[in-house]
Amino acid sequence: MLSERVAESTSRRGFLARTGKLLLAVSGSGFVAAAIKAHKAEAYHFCGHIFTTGSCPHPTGLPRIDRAGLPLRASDGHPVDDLGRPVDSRGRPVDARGNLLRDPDGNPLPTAPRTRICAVAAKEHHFKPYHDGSWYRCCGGHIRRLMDCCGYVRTRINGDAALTGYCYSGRRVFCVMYYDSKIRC
Amino acid sequence: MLTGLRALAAVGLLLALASGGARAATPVASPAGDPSAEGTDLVWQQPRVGGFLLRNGQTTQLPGSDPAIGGARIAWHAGDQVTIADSATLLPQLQETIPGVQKLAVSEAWFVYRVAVSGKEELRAQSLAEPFGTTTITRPRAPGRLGRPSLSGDLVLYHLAGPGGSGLYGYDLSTGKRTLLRTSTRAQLLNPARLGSRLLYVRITRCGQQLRLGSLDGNGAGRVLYKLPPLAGQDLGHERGHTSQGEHLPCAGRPKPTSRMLWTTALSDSAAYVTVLRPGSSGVMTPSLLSLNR
Repeated sequence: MLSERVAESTSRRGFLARTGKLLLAVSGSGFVAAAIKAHKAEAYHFCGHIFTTGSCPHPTGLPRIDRAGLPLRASDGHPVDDLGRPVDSRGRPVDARGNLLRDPDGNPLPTAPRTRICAVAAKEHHFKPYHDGSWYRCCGGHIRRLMDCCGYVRTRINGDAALTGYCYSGRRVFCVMYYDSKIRC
Repeated sequence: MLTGLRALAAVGLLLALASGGARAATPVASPAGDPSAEGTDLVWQQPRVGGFLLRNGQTTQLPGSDPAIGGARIAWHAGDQVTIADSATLLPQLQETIPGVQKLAVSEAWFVYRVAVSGKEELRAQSLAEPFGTTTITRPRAPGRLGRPSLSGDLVLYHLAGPGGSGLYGYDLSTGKRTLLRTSTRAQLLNPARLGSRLLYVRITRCGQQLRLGSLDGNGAGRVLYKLPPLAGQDLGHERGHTSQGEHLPCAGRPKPTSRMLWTTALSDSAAYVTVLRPGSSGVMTPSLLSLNR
């Protein structure tokens, strides 16, 4: 199959990083699935991660995010705030059944900030955050977009020397995160 | 039989609440919350029942809700009808209709209240010497951000909390000067109360909840009077079947989360008070009131 040959013969940075986002956006086509299947998702600390860079700081652990880079609970994709609490679409804390949490007078409990996890990393480690390239893998039957949190940094979150990875313009990878799409693969 | 079981459950709940940590907490009442203290007097609100006064070991139900006490005065409201009374005799000194009134604070010279008008909250103050004019202290844009006020002398204390972070504010009614006492974009700072130069407040972070007593001006580290575990759990940091290398967990030691939450506070010479909320039906939290030695 031509698409598989193209995917296999092209470097992941030159091919997937530059076109994957577009392909993911336009369809869940067999082409994308084939391209992603062509790369084996190797086992670092989460599926699809291909090097030793650590996770970005995340309220519940695994660095799962939504399209905007905001934290989601890895187990079920529910949005969480910076305190790790599940929240509704307006950022208000909810209970396990999705009921809005209210004080004894019936007013919603105060919302807490919900911050992009790359921005949290950048604030804690004093650099300006950039989302540059991404790469894509098939994880759990769906296409996963893996992203580097980039900056003009010399070290990674683990303390090791920072690498270029999927960062551009002299920036380097500080930590990693991922977005799970609904596209089957 | 059922009564006995309920009594056992209540005892168990109070014991669980009292075992929060940092120092011994004494259950005061449950369900009960939103304390206000003056000397050895303590008032609180029992949801859907009304206000109560604890004085010399005797508990008395007040003729209204959301009570507050300060100086020689006590306040409550019944619907929109607010009463300021002599705290010793409970005889009314001033009665006023304030549409949308929610929470009260009172001192010798001032009366402060939170109202909700057309879905917007507002904090207002009124001089008890000249009760016909009001001062608007703050009017946040969105509801649910403005905490319950407390009043100590001329100083009103309140929190504002929202998606941008939280802050504890003081507003001097004698000068009109507002002071930001504490602020954070990472921790949620809630429900301040003051006595003299000491500030009591709740600090909720990703990894725990604390009732803190510190200096009003923020100097010094302060003390943790009571603490509870975090409000959310954490995952393994790595996916099953994968190595832990590279994981980054928010809290060390994997603290077990709780659904109980520290809430409103009050401070007296001898004790600090805090409301602990626990989940009830349909997301509405049920309060319990604890006392801690300072």
